[in-house]
Amino acid sequence: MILDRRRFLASVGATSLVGCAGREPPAPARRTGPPHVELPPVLSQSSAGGSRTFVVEDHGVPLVSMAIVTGGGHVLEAAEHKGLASLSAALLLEGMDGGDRVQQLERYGEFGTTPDISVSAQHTFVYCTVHRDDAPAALRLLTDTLHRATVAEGDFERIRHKRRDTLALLRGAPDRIASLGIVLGTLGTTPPISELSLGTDASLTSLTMDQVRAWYAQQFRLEGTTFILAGDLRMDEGQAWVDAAAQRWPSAAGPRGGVAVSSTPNSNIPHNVLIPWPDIPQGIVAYGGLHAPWGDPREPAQTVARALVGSFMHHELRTVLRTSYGVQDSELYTTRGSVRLQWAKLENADVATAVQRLRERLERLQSELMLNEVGVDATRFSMMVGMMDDFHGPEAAMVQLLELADADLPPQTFALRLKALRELDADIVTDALRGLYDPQTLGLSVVADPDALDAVRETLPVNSSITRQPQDMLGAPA
Amino acid sequence: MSRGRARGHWLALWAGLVLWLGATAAQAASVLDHERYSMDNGLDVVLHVDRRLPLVAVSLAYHVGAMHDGSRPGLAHVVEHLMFRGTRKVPDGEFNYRLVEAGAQHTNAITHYDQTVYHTVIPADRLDEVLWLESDRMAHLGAALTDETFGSEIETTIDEWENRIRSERNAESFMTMWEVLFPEGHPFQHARPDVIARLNTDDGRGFVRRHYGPANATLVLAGDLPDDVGERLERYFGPRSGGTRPSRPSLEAAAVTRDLRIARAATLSTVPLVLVGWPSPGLYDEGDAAADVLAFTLNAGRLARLIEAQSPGVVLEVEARQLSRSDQSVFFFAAYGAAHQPPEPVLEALDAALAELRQHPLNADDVRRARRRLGIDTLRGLQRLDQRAAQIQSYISAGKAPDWIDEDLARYAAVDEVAVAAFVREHLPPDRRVAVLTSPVEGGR
Repeated sequence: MILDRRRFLASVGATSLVGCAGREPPAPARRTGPPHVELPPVLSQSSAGGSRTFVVEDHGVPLVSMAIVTGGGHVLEAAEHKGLASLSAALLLEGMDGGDRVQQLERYGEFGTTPDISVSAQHTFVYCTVHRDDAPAALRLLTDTLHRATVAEGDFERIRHKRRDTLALLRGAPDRIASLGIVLGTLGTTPPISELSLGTDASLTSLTMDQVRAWYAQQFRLEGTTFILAGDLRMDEGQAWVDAAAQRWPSAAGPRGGVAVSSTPNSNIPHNVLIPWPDIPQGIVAYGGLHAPWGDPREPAQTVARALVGSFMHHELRTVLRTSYGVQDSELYTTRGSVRLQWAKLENADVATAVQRLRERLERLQSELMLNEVGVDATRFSMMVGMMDDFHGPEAAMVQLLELADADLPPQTFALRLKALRELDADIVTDALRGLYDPQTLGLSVVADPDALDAVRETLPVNSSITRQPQDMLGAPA
Repeated sequence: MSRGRARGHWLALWAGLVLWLGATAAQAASVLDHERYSMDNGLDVVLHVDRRLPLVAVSLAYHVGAMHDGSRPGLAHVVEHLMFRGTRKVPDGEFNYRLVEAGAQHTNAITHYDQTVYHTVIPADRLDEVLWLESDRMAHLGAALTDETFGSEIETTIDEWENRIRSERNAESFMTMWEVLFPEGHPFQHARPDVIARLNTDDGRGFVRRHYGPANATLVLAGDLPDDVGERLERYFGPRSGGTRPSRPSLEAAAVTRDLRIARAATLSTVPLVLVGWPSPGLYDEGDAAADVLAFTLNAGRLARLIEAQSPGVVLEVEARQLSRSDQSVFFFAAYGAAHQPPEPVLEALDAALAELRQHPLNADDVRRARRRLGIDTLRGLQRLDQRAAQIQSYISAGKAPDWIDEDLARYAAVDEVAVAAFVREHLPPDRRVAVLTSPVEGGR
């Protein structure tokens, strides 16, 4: 919640006076500078074969979190093979070495863990957390998981079927539908499903097991792979574990394959997307757009700006409209970059009011200098401490290193970002905010009862919105 | 059984337990090393030093929660909200602002059944700010309460219900199961909006006056604590007084005397959902660990594989879970069917698998792996300072020592396939349970 300087200083005065009374505990002096923040060092080492290792030591519990970040991001899929990267990744956990999923889980179960997998625009990640004594063997198993998938026909069909069912599940998730509305309003893609790594019913139907096997061979190369280890270990022992695991990596043959899709947003379509959902208990209002990625010099200011706008809207929605959870943040990784959005659930009757307040607030921010140093400082201080807190424990530290590896950034990125946050001021953040939250270009997506959407339409400029049915946002069911 | 043989059995069990714990538990107790003492005013203080990063987790628990609402359902939760609305010295809106300005993370509160916990993580050099703010609202909330702030938090609490229950896809189905197991008048009953709306400011003042004081609170500080932390606590909390611990109500679940089936339709669903639930042993009680082991083993692929073999293509996803609560838990299965299918075949498929489970106990190797995983998960839950503070509060609330971690790990070590089979037999009878069958509304997306 952001307050102005006058109220801030008044409260300092009030607390100082009260502190003198009787046995009442004195209020501590308000500190105005940034809090003391330390980040643990990120150790990095390159290896023969073109891989690298990131290590963060954290000896709080005898655990090691580990990840392998290799190729196979969904940006490299051919247009007609949407969903291939994600489907191929899912099949890695359906059995290895000719065995089935249960046998594979049993092998991980001996280490007290289960593997997880995810796919970003650029990479496939496989990761788990184990006791430190099991870490070398677990890293070897994780490596084998990438190269020894069974890919049985029954599993292939079942996983493909499940992913179609997942699409059906998403059709019942208004927040996800609203997110796709933002993608549509920001990037102008029709249908926006092309940005969703899951694929469509049609593209999933066309995929074959041979394509999956070819994908593994093309994408999962040692060169360019990052091994991540965080927790109760030293760099030298971690590197030894990695070296042993890398020896099991099969040598690559043939070209890597896959071409990254690159295109510019289509700015010719309306940015406001209205999605009618009859009888929905509460509507959803979402807004957002493309955001500078990690490592981009604009990112820290944009992130502070986003947090501030989130605070403004949280205040509007929570205090004025009584929406208890206020504004929530989400991120979608698209083939055209990261789309960040904020969204809130509201009573249908309040949806139009929320949209109107959002637009009014953003228009004022375009024309008036609304940000003050106090609010900006509080936000950036909180983000600085958040960076420190994000390294707390092996699993949290591993997630930070995953971000680093996924963006192909050097280890000093964290320190540089912290420095940038220390040096930000209100003018820089104001400029970032005006660029990101221009109501003329910002994506707006509203999922609500049709009557509520009629009221929303009246708050928007004429011909500034398009209407899409929920099912259109995920491609037609097969 | 002769005494000698019994002793031999005990020693064998102990040896096995030590072997199992091995390296996993060797450092576990030291993870929660602490100092505990009581201040003159009754405030229970636990200090846990961890110098990995210059951060401190602050967790203040009042030993009063939703099960103490009595004739005023929802009151503990509304008071939790009011604690963020300021006092005479900290104007409305400033509490959160001052914490953000100090760099605080994870600031929030949660109303459990038996306690209400306020927590944050703060840079070590801003600890005083949090201690003072907590001390201030401990003493001065009641006097600052107005009809306006109370009324607005009633609205917010009701809206929270709308967000969490009415507009979440499966929440009403869970609520339906819960309300059969814990019917009206039971301390676990969730307060519905119409009941919350009847609360008034005097209810709030009385609740705060009775229960919000140092003698009914436990303060846990975990992290990079200053050497003079005791003096600081005396400075900020020494002048406070009051706080009465409420008596514990009876928590016995409703007796489920038959196979009760409830059908409902859901607007937001696109796939059928079947929930099947039973009352089960409370958190840390005998049987609770066996329930966890059962749930983990089934979720590790065994149940899904069994269902798929018996009823191919019927169930999309299935989960077993022990929802552990003090004194009384719930064990349930949640099974999602394929899109556009009715829920009845999903229940039939689940029942067929459960019948098989009752006939053939779990494999000993599966149980061993589940135990190992639960041991690792227990350590995973202690990675962060806020997790450690929360775990300490959980142990204390259950009447355990703050570092009960080794015993916590050991209770899993004692579970074998025989104990799991006994749990299934005693606590998951097919003819005494609640099944909620949810169908997507026709024409759903």
